Amino acid sequence: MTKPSATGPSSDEGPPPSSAANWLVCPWTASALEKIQPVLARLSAAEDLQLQLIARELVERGGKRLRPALVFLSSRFGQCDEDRLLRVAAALELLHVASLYHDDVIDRAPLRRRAESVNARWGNTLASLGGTYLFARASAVLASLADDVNRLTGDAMVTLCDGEVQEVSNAYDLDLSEREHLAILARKTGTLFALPCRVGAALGEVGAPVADALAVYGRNLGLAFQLIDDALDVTGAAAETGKAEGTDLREGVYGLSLLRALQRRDAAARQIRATLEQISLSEGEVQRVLSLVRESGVVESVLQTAREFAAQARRALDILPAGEAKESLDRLTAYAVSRST
Amino acid sequence: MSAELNPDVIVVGAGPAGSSAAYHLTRLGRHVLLLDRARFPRDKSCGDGLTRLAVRQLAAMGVLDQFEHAQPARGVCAYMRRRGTRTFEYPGHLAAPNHGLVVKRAELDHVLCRAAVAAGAELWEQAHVIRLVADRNGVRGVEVERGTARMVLRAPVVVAADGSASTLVHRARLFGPAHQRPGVAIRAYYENIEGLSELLEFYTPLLDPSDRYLLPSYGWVFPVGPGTANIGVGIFESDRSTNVRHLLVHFLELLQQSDSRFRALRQCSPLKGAPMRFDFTPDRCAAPGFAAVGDAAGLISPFTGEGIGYALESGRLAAETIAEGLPTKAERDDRPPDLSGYATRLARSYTGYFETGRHSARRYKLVWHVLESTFQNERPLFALCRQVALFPEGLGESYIDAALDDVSDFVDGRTLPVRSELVTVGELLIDSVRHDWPFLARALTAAQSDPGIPFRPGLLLLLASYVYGQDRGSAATTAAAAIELAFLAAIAHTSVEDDEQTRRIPARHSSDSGEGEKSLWVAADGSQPANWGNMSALLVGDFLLARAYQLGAVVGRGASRLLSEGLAQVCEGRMQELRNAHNRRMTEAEHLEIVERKTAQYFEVPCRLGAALGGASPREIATLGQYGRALGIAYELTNEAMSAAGRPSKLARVLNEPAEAGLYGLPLLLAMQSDGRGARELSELAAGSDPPAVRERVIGLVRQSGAIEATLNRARQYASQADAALAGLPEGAARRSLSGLTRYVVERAE
Repeated sequence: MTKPSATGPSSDEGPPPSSAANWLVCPWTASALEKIQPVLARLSAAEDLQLQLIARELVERGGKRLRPALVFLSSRFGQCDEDRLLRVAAALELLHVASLYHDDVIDRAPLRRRAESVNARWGNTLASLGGTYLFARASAVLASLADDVNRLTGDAMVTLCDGEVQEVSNAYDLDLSEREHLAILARKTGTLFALPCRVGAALGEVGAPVADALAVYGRNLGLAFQLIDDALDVTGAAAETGKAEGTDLREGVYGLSLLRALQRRDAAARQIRATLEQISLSEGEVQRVLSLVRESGVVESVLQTAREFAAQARRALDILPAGEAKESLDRLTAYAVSRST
Repeated sequence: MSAELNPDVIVVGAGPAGSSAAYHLTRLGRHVLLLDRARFPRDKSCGDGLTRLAVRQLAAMGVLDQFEHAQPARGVCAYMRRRGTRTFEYPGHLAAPNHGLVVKRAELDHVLCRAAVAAGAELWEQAHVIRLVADRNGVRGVEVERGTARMVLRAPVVVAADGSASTLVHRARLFGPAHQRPGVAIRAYYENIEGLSELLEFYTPLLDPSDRYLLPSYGWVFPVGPGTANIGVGIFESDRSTNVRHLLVHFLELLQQSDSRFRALRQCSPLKGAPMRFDFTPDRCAAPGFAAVGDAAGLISPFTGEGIGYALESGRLAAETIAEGLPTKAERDDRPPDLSGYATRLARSYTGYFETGRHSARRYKLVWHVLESTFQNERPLFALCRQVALFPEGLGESYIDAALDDVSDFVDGRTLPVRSELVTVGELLIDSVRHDWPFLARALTAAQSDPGIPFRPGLLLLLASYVYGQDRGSAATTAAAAIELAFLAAIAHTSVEDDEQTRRIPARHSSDSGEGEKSLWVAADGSQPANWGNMSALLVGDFLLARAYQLGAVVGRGASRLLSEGLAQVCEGRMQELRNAHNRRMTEAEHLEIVERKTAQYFEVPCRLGAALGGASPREIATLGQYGRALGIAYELTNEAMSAAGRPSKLARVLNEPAEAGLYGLPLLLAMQSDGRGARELSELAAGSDPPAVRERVIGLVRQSGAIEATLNRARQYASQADAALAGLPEGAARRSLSGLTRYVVERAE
């Protein structure tokens, strides 16, 4: 059900085509990221070998490991021993992967990370079980670390689920306001970008102003990623995610491009509205709606909004002390919007 | 105008809501002026259907005996386009009156109005309320036109019972700009219909006359008397382009084409339509000096259009609040009474019945999608959704308590405050879900009457915490809520299904999928539908897990870790169980391992967590954990024995594991592996599907093999083990109660 975004090509697949790909200029973080794989393997192990196979499936396929990177970079503004950070970073990555399992079941996605999705391979029941298992293992690690980390995670998971519920509750609302839509995205997607920043900051015991700034950064970064994906959904690059085009439309999940096209209240908007008001959509109708949205020219405005969120993220970094960590976070915002072709 | 006219309350509208409010207010000693623009008796466009709730309200008003001749309604029959039919009937165990009724509104409203007058309310007919009289502090009265006269009537409280088209609520500025368009319904009476049953029939959704667009809508056929029915259509949100008359005509055409009962039907009354509002929000039903009841408050179910019961009940709730908040005339000052208690009562009474306010339109469509696509799916989450949407009155007082045994006989509820603490736990559960998943809140609402002490994970936690400590603060109830949320999450998650193409695990669908399916109810499109069932199962399950985790974090890291580790074990057990589906050679040891991991966790974790919160040492915690584990295995084995004997426990019926999933209980396993003659036949039968005839044969064969008794023996062993684990514990009510439970788990099978 969730839009690709943080779960989609711009944040999850790699390598991206532009030079923004080399956003990470903090050697310590780069080295920590290399050490994370065995930790991930350990955390996704299970006594039942089949469960282990399923749980490790996506983890072993790689991914950009953005969230662990955010944990490490955020911790650089304070002090924390590497071992704790590795475990936390791995746990947060597993939370993210767990959500991918469930999202792919919901969306009936045939592909994930350029291969058969877990649900396509093992069926929905086992894929869901794998995701839940990863959630259990990850949350156990986070619980073992520190009270504040534990509570932060608990609150974040609720916010995440709230966002998903709100998205689904607002399904089919052609008059959903932009403000409300962005609020839902912030909860659904921004949370899993803000959380690693918060947690890294907490473990590094950085002061409140820095921690808050990092959280704001994370949230805005997540929104930037999400909106780029929204635009890519419309322009057709969504084929790479493997999710069937039109899934979101049928489920009544309308991206910002579609909402803006509707708000123009012109003839195209009326056609889109009339088509979407039907209970079920044919393939042809899905394509027609997408092409009407493309032709309306709103996609560029969405890309612009994405760039604005990226800029907001950059501005949040202002109070941070200069250094490789800050530099990397800054460059990451450019990377986030670099896929806007 | 009476010179002494000095009413306590002016009720605008003498329909069911207004008459109920007036009746109850008068009985509570208040002077009521009841206004209506019509003269009684008068007709009203409505389905005429009264649920059990409405019938009970009629009994409370002392008028039920005036409807002895009326058509009773045993329940509801829902026809879902392309999906078939389901029937819901009032379960036998509900207190009387245990049925609904169908009564023409002209008759019903007349009886109710007369009852209000007989109780002492003063009725003005043909009195048209022009405006509300209000000042900065609140509502003060109304201006009324009666004949050629106009007058201002003042009273401390005005009750708006003037229906969906109410202008009063708008003028009281309670609802603000409309967040959704009102709906509309239209009906007429038809005769010469054959074979009407005692069920209220719903058909959803409707096709518009061009068969292209499907509307959020329903049609209904309610039997009014022999061969006569109230037939109508309702649309959730109407706009200028909706011609509801055409919809009804089209609906009738489809009925006549597809169902021979309607072959010769004849219209015997004019068509009559009315608006419907569904935007009930408790906070917006009360203002200083003002209360809205019934349709004026938007209290109509968006799934069934039912409103009379809520009208009668809200009238009573308003009356009770007003009577409490209204000082005697002597003590009265100039301030309009605060009626916010009415909003609170409404919120409590209708938890989960209605999506509130501005989200209702959107959520209705969402819930409709889930309802439609899971209509034949028997999994617990979807059965619950159907029940709450289509037949909430059949839920009785408490869905949850109906699924759990009362163990008051085994637990010392006099010494230990577990009863009240479990109520607190229940409230925490409701608070956790009410905003995001109101229909779950409905299922979790506690019974009005005393449920005793239900056997649930939270109970174990509380008891365990009392063994070592007395003063655990609120941590125990919070922790209990966390474990129960995790348990509910697991139930939701088991509602996930494989798709046809990648099916590994069998589907869980009722065998009745075609009966009554109307082939005309097919939409043109053939594209793959969205994945509503799995989506809702995962969203609900994940949400409940997140809430569980969040509550656990409030208690502390230790609690969180126990919950997470327990969940990991449950996943391991579930994986093992699924992998061994249809494995007729699974050993008893393997099966017990699965039970230990999957089911016993919901006993072991609360015991350990409770003990920890009570200040127990690590060794004591481990001991109570052993108790919990053994108790859990005993409980599950007796469940399996009872199911195998054809008498499944209440909880097993709710959780509804289907035979074709191949998840064999111990009795069936033992029987299939025995040396007896029946073993091979059993293996063949177990591999197939599960129609009733086969089930009987299976039960017989299993019983013959002695496997049920063997399973019960094993259960008794574990129960003894659990009891033995308590040996080193301090004496007291808690230990006695935990010991009592080891007797309960076994005795319930005998």
